[in-house]
Amino acid sequence: MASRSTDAQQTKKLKRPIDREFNSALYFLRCKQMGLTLHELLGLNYGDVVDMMIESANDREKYDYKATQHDFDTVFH
Amino acid sequence: MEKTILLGEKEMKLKSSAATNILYKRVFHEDILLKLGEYSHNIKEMERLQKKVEELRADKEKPKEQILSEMTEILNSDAFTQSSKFQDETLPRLAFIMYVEANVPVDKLMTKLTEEQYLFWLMTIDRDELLGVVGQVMDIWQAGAQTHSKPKN
Repeated sequence: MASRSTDAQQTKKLKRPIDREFNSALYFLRCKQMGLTLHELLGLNYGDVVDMMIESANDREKYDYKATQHDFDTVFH
Repeated sequence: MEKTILLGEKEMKLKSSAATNILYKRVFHEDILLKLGEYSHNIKEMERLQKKVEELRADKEKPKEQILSEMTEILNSDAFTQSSKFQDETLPRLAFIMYVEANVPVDKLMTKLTEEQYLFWLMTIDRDELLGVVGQVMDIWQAGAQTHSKPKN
């Protein structure tokens, strides 16, 4: 419960779009960061890899906790 | 995505993968992602200009000479010239990479990918017919380029 209230109290920063072109060099860099080889890329779709990049960035985000029965019990009792 | 397209009477199998843009850069030393972005922007600009041309044609009050001059200016605009260059130069190169990906075993792919191989391949196809299937080639690329995940922020 303590960690949840800490997350909730965090100030939400306004994220602004950045002016950075998505070029092949950046694409290849992200592929290497994810550990993908050229051989593996040949067996994947471009869209699959972009999805993986998005999910990789989503890993660094914070998510709301799902309420458990214990949480409901705490609120209603 | 893999698909067979009809080039005149000749069938041609094309395949786009997550490595297509890297292979393209390796052979032609150009950034296909940037080129595709520009092309997409130019297509939208051309659609806008096309509407302007239709408005000019419908304008009965304007003198014909002025209409012709304005239409020539539109047809010579950057959007039209760059799109034409993309279709003449970049598209056959992209089709070559996708053709090799679809028809050459992965382990032999690197040895087949040279600019000389491209020029040789270009002699085996009808470029005018390739221009007729621009939409299909782009569809194969775009179908592979579809994404489904959403960034959280």
